[in-house]
Amino acid sequence: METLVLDTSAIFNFGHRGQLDSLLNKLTKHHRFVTTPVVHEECRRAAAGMHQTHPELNLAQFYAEFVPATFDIVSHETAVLPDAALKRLTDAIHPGEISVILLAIEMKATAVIDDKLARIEARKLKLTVTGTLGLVEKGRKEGWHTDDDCLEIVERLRAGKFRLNPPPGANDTFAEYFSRLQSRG
Amino acid sequence: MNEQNNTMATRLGALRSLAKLSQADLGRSMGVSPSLISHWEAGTRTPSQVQLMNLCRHLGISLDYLLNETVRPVFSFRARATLKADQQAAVNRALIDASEQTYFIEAILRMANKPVQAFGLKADFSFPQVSSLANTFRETLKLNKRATLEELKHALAEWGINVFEWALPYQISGMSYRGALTVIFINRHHDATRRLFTLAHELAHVIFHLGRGTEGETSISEIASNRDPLEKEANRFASEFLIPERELRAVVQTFGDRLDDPSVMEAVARSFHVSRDAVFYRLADLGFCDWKDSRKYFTRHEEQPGSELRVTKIEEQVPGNLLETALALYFNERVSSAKLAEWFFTSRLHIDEYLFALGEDQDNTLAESANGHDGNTGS
Repeated sequence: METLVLDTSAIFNFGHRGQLDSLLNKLTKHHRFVTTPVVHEECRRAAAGMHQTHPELNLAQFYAEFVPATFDIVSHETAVLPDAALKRLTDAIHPGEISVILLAIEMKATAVIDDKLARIEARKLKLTVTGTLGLVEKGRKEGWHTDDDCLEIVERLRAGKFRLNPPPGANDTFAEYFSRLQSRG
Repeated sequence: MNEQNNTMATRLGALRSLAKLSQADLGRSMGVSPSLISHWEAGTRTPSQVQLMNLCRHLGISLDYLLNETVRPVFSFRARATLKADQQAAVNRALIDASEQTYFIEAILRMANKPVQAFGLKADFSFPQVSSLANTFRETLKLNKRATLEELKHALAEWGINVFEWALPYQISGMSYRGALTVIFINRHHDATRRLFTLAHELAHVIFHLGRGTEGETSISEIASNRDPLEKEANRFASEFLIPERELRAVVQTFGDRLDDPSVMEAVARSFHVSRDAVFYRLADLGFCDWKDSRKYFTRHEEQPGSELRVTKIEEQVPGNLLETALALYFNERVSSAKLAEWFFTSRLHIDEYLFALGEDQDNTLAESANGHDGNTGS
């Protein structure tokens, strides 16, 4: 069973932003979903902070239940980065992203990270990396949902203020759009 | 033991003290022995990477801050803070965050190859000269006599002062640091009139008190902290800076006895962009009001609940120049969006929302310009 280590952004996309329950149910039959204590804490703080500006979303309560119910929360124990790599990562990316990279190295797992730079850094460390849309594409290829379903997911993510650069074109199929995103890294 | 380990060891001890944790407390929460913490702080043993990351998590700081080689400002109270025990933890957290934010400013500038801009203005405070000092600094900062919060923030940004509007524990009005760079934090939980007064008050600390050796580099202002002599000076300057005596005397002449009416006092306060309390203090100081009437005019402030995030509205709470520099690093793929959230003590959801809005604005601008172009072509 393949292990996926999810970063915060992907958790939000499966959670309130994209509400990808159906995809999640399918994926969990074939994958172990894992995240780190740093990401878990970040989700908690972000949801609590969101409560200040968008109390109607009730995210604090949602993520307090969603994260422990969906993910194994695992701390890395042994993975060590070369000093230069650690310095580069701490300068440029978030501790949550670093914790995902370290755990994915340790578990020989796939890191699920949406930020382009963090993905580039993870690949430099020979990790297998994907993002939320990579998992959506996987679902399309498996026949779990149609191309149009995928485009609807993209619209839901955008409605949830998930930044996709570039956004899909008016006449794009999801497959075309995803392929274009992939070519940009 | 190399020099870097030595610095990290020293910083670890300093940060633990700042977090008000004993070696036993920290060891217990991390699941290691207090003697191991003691060895790390003495530099006789070095934490592994895993332990370093756990340390950061338990101290609530970032790894690059812990690994950073230079000692950063420690915000501390000059006199014992008048805080209840249950407020102390939130205040300690805010002081650590402020110290870390100062480090992040330097990190952003260093990564962008931009110089740190030192604030060059200093003066000696004098009560008899306060009016002339306020005039001089108003002119230097190119402000009119009734400056708004935004105007003062912009003026200070021009002089390289980084002003953050943070969600701070309610008891703290503001904090400031003057070193290689200058930073002022004002409490977002307070209303705009109080924030303006706090900003002028902190500016007084920066101009008259900080970075002079004896008074240290940092200052923390609590609400109702009028007994400290430096706080008195800062209040006096802020008062004169925002409510110039000559202007106020003209107002008194205009309104006369009607100033007794709290709603007239409110109108006067609004015209100076300050609170009714600030105007009352000023009028009482000049002998136009009786101190015993203070309750009639004073506003009752409700204590706001604490919040975990310092920043939720990024453009309003973070200095514009710094935000622009950090965004350039993000758009040039030098840092991740999550790193922006770390740098600005906000959450990824808020950063994502902000970046999404920037993208939408850009798309709308492009669409408008395309429409405009089509229209011109057609005419």
